[in-house]
Amino acid sequence: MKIVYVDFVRFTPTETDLFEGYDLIVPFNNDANSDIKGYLVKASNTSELQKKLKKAKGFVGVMSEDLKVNREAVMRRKVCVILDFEGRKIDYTTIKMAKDKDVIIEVSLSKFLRVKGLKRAKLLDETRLLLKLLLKFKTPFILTTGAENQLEVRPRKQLYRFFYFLSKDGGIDCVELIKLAKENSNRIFRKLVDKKYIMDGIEILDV
Amino acid sequence: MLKLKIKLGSPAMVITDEWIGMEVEVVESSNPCEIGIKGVVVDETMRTLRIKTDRGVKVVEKKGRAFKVKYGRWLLKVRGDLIAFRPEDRIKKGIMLIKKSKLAKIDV
Amino acid sequence: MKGLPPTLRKKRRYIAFKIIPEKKTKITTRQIYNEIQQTIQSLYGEWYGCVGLKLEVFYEENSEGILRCSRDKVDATLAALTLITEVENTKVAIKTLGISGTIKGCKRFLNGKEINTER
Repeated sequence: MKIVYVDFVRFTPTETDLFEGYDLIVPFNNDANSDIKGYLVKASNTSELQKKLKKAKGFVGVMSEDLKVNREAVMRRKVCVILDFEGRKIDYTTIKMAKDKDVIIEVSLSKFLRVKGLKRAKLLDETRLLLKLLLKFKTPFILTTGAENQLEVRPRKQLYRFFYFLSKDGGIDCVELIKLAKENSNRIFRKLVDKKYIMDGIEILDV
Repeated sequence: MLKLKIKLGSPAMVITDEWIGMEVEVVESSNPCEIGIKGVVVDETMRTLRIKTDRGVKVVEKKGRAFKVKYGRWLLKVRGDLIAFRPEDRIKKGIMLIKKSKLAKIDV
Repeated sequence: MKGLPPTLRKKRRYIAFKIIPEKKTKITTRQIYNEIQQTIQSLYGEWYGCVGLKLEVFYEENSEGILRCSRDKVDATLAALTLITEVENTKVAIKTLGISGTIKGCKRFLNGKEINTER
């Protein structure tokens, strides 16, 4: 089967050759004019999250600094993705729960581009631990650019090679990681685009 | 709490329905001899399906297989792991599975 | 004195890359070399920092170039190139075009036909 690559960004994408290699780009921004597929929810506490989720529909992504909000978001039925940025906090229990509830955890590249020095070193270390846990529990995850503007986008090959190197250096099973990331990317693509898809494990062959 | 309305007879409901009497075909299996077994389901246990074929009754395990099934007006491919419950439990557990899965199409 | 046999020589790889600046700003060879060198230094420090870096060619008119590094540090160099965000206060993105064992082989990744027939 052909592998399809999905990328999540936070702006309305326009044509650049930096987008090379992706089949579907899902923008997460609540811009009414654009034909968007993702629905972004930003919340700083749990009650705000619940209020905002009532209006939400479609492919919902939650972005939050607070650990409690992320844990609450995983338990909500509407939430599909926990979006990534440099301040996100996520812990062991949340990752374990996300596997149960089938919530995708995003691991983005662009957070490394926004910080430098010691902060970046800490972030790299945290990400290695995160990847290790994601592999341990087989939690669905996706590797994305997570870009906030045009210049934070990187071509697909560069992105996957970066995470390959990062996990290899941290003593994580890099081959398995890339394989799982590709599988999940395929799954998300089918969920969003394929009309024959019903749910995981059921598909229409013929009418 | 938001309530999910699953449309009766939608393709996702196949995992909650009775399988005895359905026409099935094994399409994916780790055992190559099992692929292509085709017939009518005559009996069912928690882990297996009994399929009546032209060459006698065959017993096929559910887990790790994929079945081609005629359900309503659709021809579906269903992974066996989703129906690996006792037939009487399946209506409860199947609906739970559908509700749990994100972005499942339930109103076709 | 006879040179080293091929098995003992340092293995090298050449990376073709392209710089995409924010607003058509020109970036000089000196600036891009310094930026890459600094990024590698800050990322890997002194212990792993030597990747055998050399900027072989850089065409300022369409901001493409070829970079040399040692074979076992290719991944490290690529990661560093991916993480570069600005050169001398201009925001940029670097796109790697391809990797090859020779400079000649690397030139097929570059755009612009006049450049390819230069030699």
